[in-house]
Amino acid sequence: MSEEQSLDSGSHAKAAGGSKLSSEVRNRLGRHLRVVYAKLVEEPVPERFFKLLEELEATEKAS
Amino acid sequence: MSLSKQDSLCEPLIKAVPNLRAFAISLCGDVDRADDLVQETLVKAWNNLASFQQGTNLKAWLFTILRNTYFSECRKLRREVKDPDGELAAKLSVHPEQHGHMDFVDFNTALAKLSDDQREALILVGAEGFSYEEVADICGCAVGTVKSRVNRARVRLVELLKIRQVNDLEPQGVTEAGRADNLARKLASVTR
Repeated sequence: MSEEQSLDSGSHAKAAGGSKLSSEVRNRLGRHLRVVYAKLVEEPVPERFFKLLEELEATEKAS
Repeated sequence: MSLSKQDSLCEPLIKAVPNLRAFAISLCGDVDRADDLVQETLVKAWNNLASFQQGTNLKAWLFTILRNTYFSECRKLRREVKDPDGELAAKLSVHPEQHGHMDFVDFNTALAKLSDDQREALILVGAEGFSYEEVADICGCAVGTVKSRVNRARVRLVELLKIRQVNDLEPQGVTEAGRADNLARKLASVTR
């Protein structure tokens, strides 16, 4: 995600409630969020999803 | 459907699963429920392939199916996701010792306290990297609504984390020397 997006959304507008966040705070929040989220994305894919797609594909082939 | 079309769908679907799971966990706070949501999403996608236009954004389409499934289930069950014990925060947690500071635990707790709308918008824009227009399509709302939800999410996080200025993201009463120590500790823990 581009830094321009995080800057653009608040740089000219006041956030709801009238408070304006500095770009540093927005960027720090963004970085925290991405670190937390990346941990979730890094989790290995459970076997059930491989099985599911195999089954869906097999059913499709059989029909 | 030709065989080759189905074969070529399996791979992009599996590739989307880690992000779908991360998003689902962020929405509902429960890994098992999240995995059920992802499963439903994949089945719906498979069965509705005819409505997906080749060359458009598959990931956005999958995310749309997932969040619509989640919110319609919530409506059916007539309950909001409540998280009094901070389970969502625990599920999202990064080991504090890796970053040498409690702020990540506080951050997850704060994230969990956002409304579904705000957390969803913040994650789609800030973590998944969708454009505002894409998020508007995914969530079925106006671009302005997405922007305002993202802004409100950020403002709310700042309130919850009691951030007054950027220095407040560091431990209390930190000095220049203290900041350097903090950085050194973080670097040490990463390279351990």
